[in-house]
Amino acid sequence: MRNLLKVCVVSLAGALLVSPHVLAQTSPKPNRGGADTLYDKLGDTGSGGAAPRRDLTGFWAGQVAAKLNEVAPLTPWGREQFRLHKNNSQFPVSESNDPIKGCDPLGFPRNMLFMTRGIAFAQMPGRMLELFQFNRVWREIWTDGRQLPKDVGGNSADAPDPRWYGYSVGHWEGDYTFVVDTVGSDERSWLDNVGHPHSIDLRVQERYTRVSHNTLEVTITINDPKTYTKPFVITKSSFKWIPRQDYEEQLCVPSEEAEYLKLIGDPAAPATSGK
Amino acid sequence: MKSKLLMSFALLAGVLTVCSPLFAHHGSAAYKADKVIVLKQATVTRFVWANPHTMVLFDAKDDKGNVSHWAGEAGSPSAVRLLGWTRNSLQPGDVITVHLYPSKFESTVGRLDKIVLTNGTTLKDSPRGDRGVISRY
Repeated sequence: MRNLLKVCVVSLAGALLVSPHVLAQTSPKPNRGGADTLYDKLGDTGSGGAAPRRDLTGFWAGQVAAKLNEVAPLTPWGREQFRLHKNNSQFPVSESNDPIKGCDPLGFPRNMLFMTRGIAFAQMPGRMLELFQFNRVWREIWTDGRQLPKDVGGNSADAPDPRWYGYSVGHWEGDYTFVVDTVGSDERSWLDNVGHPHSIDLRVQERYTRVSHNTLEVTITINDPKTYTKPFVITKSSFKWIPRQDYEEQLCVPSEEAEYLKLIGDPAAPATSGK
Repeated sequence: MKSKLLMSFALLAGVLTVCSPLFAHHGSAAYKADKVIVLKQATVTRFVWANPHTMVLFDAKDDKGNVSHWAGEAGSPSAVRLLGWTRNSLQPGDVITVHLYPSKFESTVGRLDKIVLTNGTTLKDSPRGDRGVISRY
């Protein structure tokens, strides 16, 4: 018993020796100096009344990043891709290979999981446009009954090319839920900020439900059997109606990003450091 | 003896429970997450109001009067504007007190915590991250 106690005390001491860096994180307290998203600043906006029927039109505020669920277990192919990705969280910027480091497009669905401060919908005959504050990107979501393209990125002469933002079709289920199915997302884009991969076989389903005039919710399901062993819901997130119906311009500007890397990103850490 | 043993186990389990997610979140990014340094009487040399990174370049003197050139990064204009910053918040020549998380590698760069102007105005930076993921925006 005495030996066991010694082992335990030594283990605890070891843990404490290893941990001071981490424990000290609470002092000083991280700066949380107020709302840094319009979503948070708006606070409780109330319902605003009943949702209009089959209408998402307007500008919506979201969080910087959606709260993500754990991804499903990776396949061997998925693990190999993931191993090659060096994200901005675990690696210094100088060593990261996150595509956005060079202002490459976020791509879909990553742009529905990150940089979601502002999104908008514009309904047109035969299609819905979804617009994104970050980088002023848009997606066409066809609602004219067409089918999703097959064999995107395939070898046949008429195989469509992969796209950063994929190919999307949508339809209404009832009066308040708009369902979007997407294929063909370019494999160069990452699924999320952690660097989880996806393949050209990725299929994504988004279910947008307008709960009230002021609240829009979305559930996003990932189905990529080449990369993940089973489909999974990656997020359920919420957006608020923006009263002034406008949003910020927020662009990743290559020349400004290059200057950032020169002044801060690269000097912050030697290129050989990392996890 | 038995109660001490149990307490030791409980403490160890507690420490490991508290520590493991933090290690995962901030393991080896470029900046020290546990330390804010304060640079007083610093002089702004340039303020970059740019997407996706706001940057403040400034000179700071050590105790011997040696000048170091520093660069601090903050959130995007979209983020820090909501915290009270504007594109004109800082001008070259402004004297400021800078609180920042320094690089782990001793270079004179860091992630800003806050800047205090001589008139007492405080410009806070946006939070560093969500789930430990990304923070620079």
